[in-house]
Amino acid sequence: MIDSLLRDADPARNLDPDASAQQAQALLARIVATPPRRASTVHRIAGYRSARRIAIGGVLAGAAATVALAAPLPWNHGAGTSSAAFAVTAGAGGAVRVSVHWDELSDPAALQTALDNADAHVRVRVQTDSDSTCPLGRVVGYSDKAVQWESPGSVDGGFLVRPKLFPRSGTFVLTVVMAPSGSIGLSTMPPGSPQIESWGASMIAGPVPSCS
Amino acid sequence: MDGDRERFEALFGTYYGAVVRYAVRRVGQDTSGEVVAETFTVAWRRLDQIPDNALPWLYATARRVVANELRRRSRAVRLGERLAAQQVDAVADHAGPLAESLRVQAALDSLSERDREVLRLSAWEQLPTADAASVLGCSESAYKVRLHRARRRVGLLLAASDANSQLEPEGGRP
Repeated sequence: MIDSLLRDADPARNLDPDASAQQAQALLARIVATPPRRASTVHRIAGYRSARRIAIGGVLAGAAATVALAAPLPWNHGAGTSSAAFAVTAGAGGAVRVSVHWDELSDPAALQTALDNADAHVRVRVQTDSDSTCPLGRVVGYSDKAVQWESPGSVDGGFLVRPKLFPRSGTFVLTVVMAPSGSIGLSTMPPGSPQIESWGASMIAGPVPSCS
Repeated sequence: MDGDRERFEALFGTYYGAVVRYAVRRVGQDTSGEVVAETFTVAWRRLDQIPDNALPWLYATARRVVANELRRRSRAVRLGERLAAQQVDAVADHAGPLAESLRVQAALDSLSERDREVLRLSAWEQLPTADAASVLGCSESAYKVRLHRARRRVGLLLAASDANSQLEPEGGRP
């Protein structure tokens, strides 16, 4: 009886991840591109993007990569803003689609501007020290229609927000934690560039405190 | 090197789904990708340490990655609060079978992490005793005792919540 109840409550009961899917194969390729037995102290691993970072970091041209991030790409699909690191586009009914390449995001403020322009009700908070606390405010739940993740099971891809379906006075908050200087975060950018160590998402009702 | 790669690709192909489900069950879908990626990254680096029966090893690795992730997130963005809040909201948004599942989830959340993990490995990963004990780093007999006690505790919690739900009047979302 207990086991049956537990099985019914399995949040992954209907999940059938496919190892041959493009996303999984991309992950596999990134991992095997790294040396199989490295000294564990070489890099701080914050996410799988770091594997790619390690693989190409030595040959990546810093100036070219910086330019690639800084140069906005033309946006041809309606109202929105995009760069190499993110894309924000307004859709029907106030919905806003957001895609972020967290490994390439070096300017969270630019993402915030794009989100504000799209009236996405999404706040990007930057925490510069992963060991400090960063008050969230009043965390509340949200339905999967209010925020719809495109790639369940992965940090890749983006999400669709429907602010009209947010809880009352709700703001969807992305907290990005910057990697300490000199360490390797999620970024594929050259050492010395601002790098994100991790990020998280929460729905906050009412005021959203800033990280200090 | 080619042999290593072939073995790892086979490992990945065989167990990717299981590791994804393991991660989703513990940290949710939006964070699970990081856990999966880091688990397989560790596996790639320690390929020579992985036994033929690789799944318990992968689960044990994923378990450590999850623990690290939750510690880090609890400092950075209070992930636990977010997950708990999502569950509360989901109760308000849905009804029927989902509410029943969430009642069970709430009972699980009331247990210690050790009890939760024992129950999850048994009911969700459906691991044999030897494999589950391997994941937890304990003896089979210790695992059996833990499982028995955890089942009893969650059973009591479910019985209590069932009794409470029958006492509460139905109400809409505020």
